[in-house]
Amino acid sequence: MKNRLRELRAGRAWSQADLADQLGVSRQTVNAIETEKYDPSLPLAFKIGALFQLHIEEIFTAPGDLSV
Amino acid sequence: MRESEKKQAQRRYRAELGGALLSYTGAIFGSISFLNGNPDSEFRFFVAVIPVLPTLLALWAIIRHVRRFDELYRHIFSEALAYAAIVTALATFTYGLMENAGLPHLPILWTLPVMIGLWGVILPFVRRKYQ
Repeated sequence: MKNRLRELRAGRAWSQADLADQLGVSRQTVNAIETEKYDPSLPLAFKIGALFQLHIEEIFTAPGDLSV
Repeated sequence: MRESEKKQAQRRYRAELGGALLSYTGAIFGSISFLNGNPDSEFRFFVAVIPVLPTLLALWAIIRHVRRFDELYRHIFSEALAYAAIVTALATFTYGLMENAGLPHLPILWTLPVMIGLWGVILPFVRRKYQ
C-alpha cells in the first residue's frame, strides 16, 4: 500500500518519534509504514487520518486498481 | 512504546519468564524423582504431567510480553511463530520418516522446546524485514 505519511509528517516538521508518540506506536512502526514495508491496521490508519485531519484514502492508496 | 516503557516491559518479562522457568526446573526434578521412586504409583500419570503447569506459565509470560508491544511487533512475533511452527513441523516429520531408515528414535518431548527455540532464532530475521 502506497502512502504519503513521510510527506505529511515532514509538512508538520515532526520526527518519526514525535509521530510515533502521538499515535501510541513505536518509531519502528512509523518507519515501516513510511517505507511501505508494513500496512497499518484499520484502527491505526483511522488514527493517522484523524491526526492529519484527512480521509484514509487521501493518505493511503492501493498499488493497483482495486475498484469493483 | 517509549524506550523507558520498553525496558520496563523487558524487566517484567524476564521476571515472569524466569519465575516460570525456575518453577519448571523444580517441577521436572520433583516429578522425575517421584516417578523413579514410585514407578507403580497410581498417581504416576498425574505427577508426570505436573511440569506442564509451569510450561503454561512460561507461555503465558511470552503472550503477555507480546501483547505489551504495538501492532507491528505483534505482527513480527506472529510471523516468526508461524515460520517456527512450519520449520518444526517439517523437521520433525522429516526426522520421523528418517527413523524408518534407522536413525535413533527421539522423544516427542523435544518438539515444544525446538519450536520455541526456533521462534527466538527466526525473530531477528523477521524483524530485519520491517526495518
